[in-house]
Amino acid sequence: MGMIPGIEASSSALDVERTRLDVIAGNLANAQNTSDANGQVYRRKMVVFESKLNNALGADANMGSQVQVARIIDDPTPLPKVYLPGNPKSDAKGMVEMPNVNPLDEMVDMMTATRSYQANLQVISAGRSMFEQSLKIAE
Amino acid sequence: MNPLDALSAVTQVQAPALQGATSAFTPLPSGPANPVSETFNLLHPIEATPVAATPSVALNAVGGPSTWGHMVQQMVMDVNSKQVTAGQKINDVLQGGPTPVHEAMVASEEASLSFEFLSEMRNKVVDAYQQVMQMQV
Amino acid sequence: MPSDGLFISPTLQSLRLTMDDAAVRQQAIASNIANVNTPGYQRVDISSTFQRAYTDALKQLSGGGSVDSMPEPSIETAAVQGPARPDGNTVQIEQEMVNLDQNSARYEFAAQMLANHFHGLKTAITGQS
Repeated sequence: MGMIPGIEASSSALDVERTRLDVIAGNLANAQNTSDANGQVYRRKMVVFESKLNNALGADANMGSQVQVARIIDDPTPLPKVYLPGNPKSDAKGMVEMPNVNPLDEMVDMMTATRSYQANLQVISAGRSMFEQSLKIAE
Repeated sequence: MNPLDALSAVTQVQAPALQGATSAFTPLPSGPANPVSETFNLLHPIEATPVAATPSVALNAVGGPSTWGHMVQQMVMDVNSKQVTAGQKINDVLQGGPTPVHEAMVASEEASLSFEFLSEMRNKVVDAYQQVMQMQV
Repeated sequence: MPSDGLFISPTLQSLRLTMDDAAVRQQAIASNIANVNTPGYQRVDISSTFQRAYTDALKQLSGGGSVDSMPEPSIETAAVQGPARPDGNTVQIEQEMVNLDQNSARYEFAAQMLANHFHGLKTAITGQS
């Protein structure tokens, strides 16, 4: 157990939510990108979380879990086709595949990530306040 | 020098002198006006014994330490062990081990208070001894 | 040990137990809040054996008794799980935030009471505040 109880879990969550925000920012930036590094249409990226047990030094018992990013995967939903006959990437019918990024979904995800980030900051703050209070025992 | 060693040395030097002093003391009435017997009343209630020149006074009838010197020695060892425990817990916290922070704080405060208690007792007894020595015979 | 008498009091022991309990519970709450978006995560709480032992100990101590031994506090998957969201996560963030506030308040209260207790002892021993 560290000096501040629960700090490993909360700080891992801060990392993870930060990664999610980065991915969302990437999605929004590439929302109209029909040609990425490989020449493919950009596919929306999603972050998958998983929990990892806290193995504190010298303790075998379960002490709660941290969270980490398992992988960043491509969103498998089909790419929408838009009618853009003048576009160099349009096919025979003039349809172009666009990235499957919906800005509204991304904004909702961003709010969720921000809220989680703030909640975890609050946990760390509560833990630190508990620690400071315990120092008063030996005033 | 470890403060506990210094304390122990001082009390051991004065303990034999005190034993002689206490045996001469018992007839004095106890009460708030008499500082010396008030001091000893802090530790254990002493029954009035006749003025025989006994070399040692049994302070606790139920098999406890039979002389002042023994009692102080036991207390010094106790304070020392408390300090050792506190040191171990603090070390554990510093190394990130399983001891919670408040346990280390409580142990350290207990050690500190035990030491202060012992220290105050010694001060009172030394004061009493000095008062006795100043008495006109 | 002679000077243990200074430190064996039911109040002191119940305060220490409360702090032990609150410290471990804080870890459980932190784990829950951190994993609020993890698919399939079940919320955790302090183990039910420790919880029962703790409430029993508090009752015993308030009656002036003493408690000899307590089980080690540990965290396990909570016995009562709320409704699961579509991704299998059972953490209710609002409930966890409330638990967070209550738990840290309890810990700080116990810490302050312990501080007062030791301060009082110190005054009694040395005669100075």
